[in-house]
Amino acid sequence: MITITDSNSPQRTVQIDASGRPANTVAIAALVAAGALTIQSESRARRVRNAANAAILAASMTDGEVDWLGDGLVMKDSTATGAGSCTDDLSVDGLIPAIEMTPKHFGWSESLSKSAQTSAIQRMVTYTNTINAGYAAANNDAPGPIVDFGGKTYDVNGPFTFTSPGIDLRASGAEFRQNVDEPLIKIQPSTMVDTPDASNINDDILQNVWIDGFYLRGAFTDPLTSAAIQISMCKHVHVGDRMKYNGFRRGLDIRGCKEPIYIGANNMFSNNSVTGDTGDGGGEMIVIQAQEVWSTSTQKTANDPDTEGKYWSYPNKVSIRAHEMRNGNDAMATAILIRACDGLDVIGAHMVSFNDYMIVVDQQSSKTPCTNMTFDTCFFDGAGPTDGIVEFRDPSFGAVDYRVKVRFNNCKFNGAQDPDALDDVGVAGTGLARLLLINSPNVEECHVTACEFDKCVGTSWVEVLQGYGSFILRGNQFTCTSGNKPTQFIKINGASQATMFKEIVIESNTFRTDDGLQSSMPTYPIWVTGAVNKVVVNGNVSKNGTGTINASFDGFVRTTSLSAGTVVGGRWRGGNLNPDQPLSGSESAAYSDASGNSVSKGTVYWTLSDGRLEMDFGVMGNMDVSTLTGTDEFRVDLPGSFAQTSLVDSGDGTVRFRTMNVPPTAGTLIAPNIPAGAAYINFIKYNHDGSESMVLVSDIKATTDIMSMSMRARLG
Amino acid sequence: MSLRIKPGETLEWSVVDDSGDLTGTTIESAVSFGDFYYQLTVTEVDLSIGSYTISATSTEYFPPGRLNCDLKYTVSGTVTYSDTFSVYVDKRVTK
Repeated sequence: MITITDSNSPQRTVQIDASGRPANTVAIAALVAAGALTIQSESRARRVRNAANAAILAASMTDGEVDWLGDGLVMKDSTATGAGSCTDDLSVDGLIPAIEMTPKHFGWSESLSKSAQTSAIQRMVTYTNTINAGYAAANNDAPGPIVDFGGKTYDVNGPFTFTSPGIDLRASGAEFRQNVDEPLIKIQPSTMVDTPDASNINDDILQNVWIDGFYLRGAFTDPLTSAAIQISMCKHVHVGDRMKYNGFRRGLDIRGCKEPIYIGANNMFSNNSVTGDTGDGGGEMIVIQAQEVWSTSTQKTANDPDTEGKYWSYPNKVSIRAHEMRNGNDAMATAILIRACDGLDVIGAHMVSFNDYMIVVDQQSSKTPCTNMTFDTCFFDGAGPTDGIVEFRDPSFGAVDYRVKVRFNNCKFNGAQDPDALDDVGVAGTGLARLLLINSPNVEECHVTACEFDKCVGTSWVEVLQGYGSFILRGNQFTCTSGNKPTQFIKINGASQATMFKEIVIESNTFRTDDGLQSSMPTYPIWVTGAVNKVVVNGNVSKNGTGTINASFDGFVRTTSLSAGTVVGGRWRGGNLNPDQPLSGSESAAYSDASGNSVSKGTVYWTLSDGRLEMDFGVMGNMDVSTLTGTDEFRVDLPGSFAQTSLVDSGDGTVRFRTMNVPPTAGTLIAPNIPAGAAYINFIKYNHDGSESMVLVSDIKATTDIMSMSMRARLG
Repeated sequence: MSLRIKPGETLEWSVVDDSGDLTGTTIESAVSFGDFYYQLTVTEVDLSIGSYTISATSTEYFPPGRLNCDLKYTVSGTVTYSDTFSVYVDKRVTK
């Protein structure tokens, strides 16, 4: 500290933090005089922070030299290992950190052999780890070294393992070429050599990891199964915006890291030049998973992390931004594999061409969560050999401590009707099986909002086989054409699995065709089958082409073999109410109706809950009951007030719905003995003067006391 | 508190640098703002304990406002500078 005081007015004073520079200047000059240092420019010398450490650095070198690199001191090693090497020399705490190191200072040259280049990079890695450890131990307020690879091409084989805190790896498009099955860059605590300490995980976590500007290129001769970059047990991890990966079976492997983990706008590209190698179905561009942690080998032997959750460290608060992830002529399986995390947001990612599902949630352990995950404004482009877009995989374990929670907002699920359409997709495809598949009994929450589903050749674009909590599809648009008409857009299939969502809500979605042809629409937008708990279908719209309401579905919801639970239909537009196959008489299990009352059969309800019946009721007036038999029963429940009504057999193949203009009363209409062969129920209004008319929108609206109405069809 | 002066006042600063022995160091200092540049005089007191003084022959024409100032250290061709600090020149009233 320099203190300047006005000799005439001592209250006038100022202090300057000169960081010891004046005295450093003296010490540095002494080093220069002794030949230990060469000062290359004044500006570099200005930033020397600690001449005492510089002296230690100079004195510690027995087989190398101290030099300036950028603004800091570095050691140039002339011995790779053993006595005299940087590693050996730097076994001194409190070394001055070097700034802006490049491989050239460790003997690397582009003209060297692969082996020699690899050795040079390894020397730099060792030096970085050592000097960072010294820095961390004794000089916490000083900056660590920046490892700058520039824009060169490095013909090397990893792994290059960084184990010290404050890793800062920079490049300006430097290309790394590897052909061994190892991670190219590994970043992990030194304790990973044995086991991180489960008793205090945070002590073992490596802090502050920055990587930016790399082009990591592998698999020149052999497909790799390892990751280009593997980051384990670190926190404050930043993988920059300027990364490119190519030719690895796994791009970025995040294991057990802690918040925040930021993965910038990386460009991930998988391509393998090996003829005939069109992908083995393995590999992921990004993996987010947990890491086992142990204090001792004995502990590891004696315990199972799946029963002792404390032996898992799982990532939290992972951010993935604006990725471009695509495959060339060797397709990876998956863009993002999520095995364990608490907090994940993926925003603006574009994924193209994988040979399995693009997004896979495959819970690693019953003791690890996959929760608080959000995908926003992503474009899932199913070109190439992609099997599907999103899959929640059955983890095949029973009771769990953590479940799966995920939301998709404003994403586009593109099934790639013509999967080979993109010029830069190297592997031909056959079209996607599904856009969204939920087959995990641990999905506590899956909400899909304002997304677009289109161009899928699969028979069911969204299929639910298992679940746990709630699955909500709200405000989405499903668009098909004649070339990719599914059997149904959404299939809720509880036929073969024991655990199903407690509630499924399909609400305010639009189902449409963009070619304007009714024939392009599926027969049923929604199919519910097997055992469900409660499926609510409300406020959806079907459109034919761009404008008119499409009223020509055979039925909006198809129900077959509904063995448990209820399907509740609310307000909807387009299509007819048609429980395709009302439950057969042989089924006898006890089920509950919408009010919780026990009924003898599964039931399909259509509930018009708010009295706004205009279009809905008008459409229902053309209800197809052709599958009902003479002993079946058709009910019109009127929980609210309604005019005195009755259903009558008109004797002409229709059932007529009769209402009189009398003071309204609540009641239930039962129309037994529907005539055999009846095709429709026509709602006919018998007026008090004996005339009759069709029930029209205006008629219903005139009955202002209507508060709710439900209709159900079942076998008696 | 900061360093302040009025034009015409006597400038004499006592400096103590606690960073160590500065023996053999040439110390220079100046104030400047825009086109104004004035070389100050540095006089050693005891550089082994970092003690020296800074003075000006005349401050009569120092422009009112904030002047920049720093210290330059030279040892055998090795040069470093201190951080830049401010010296405030107030307008004088009494003539």
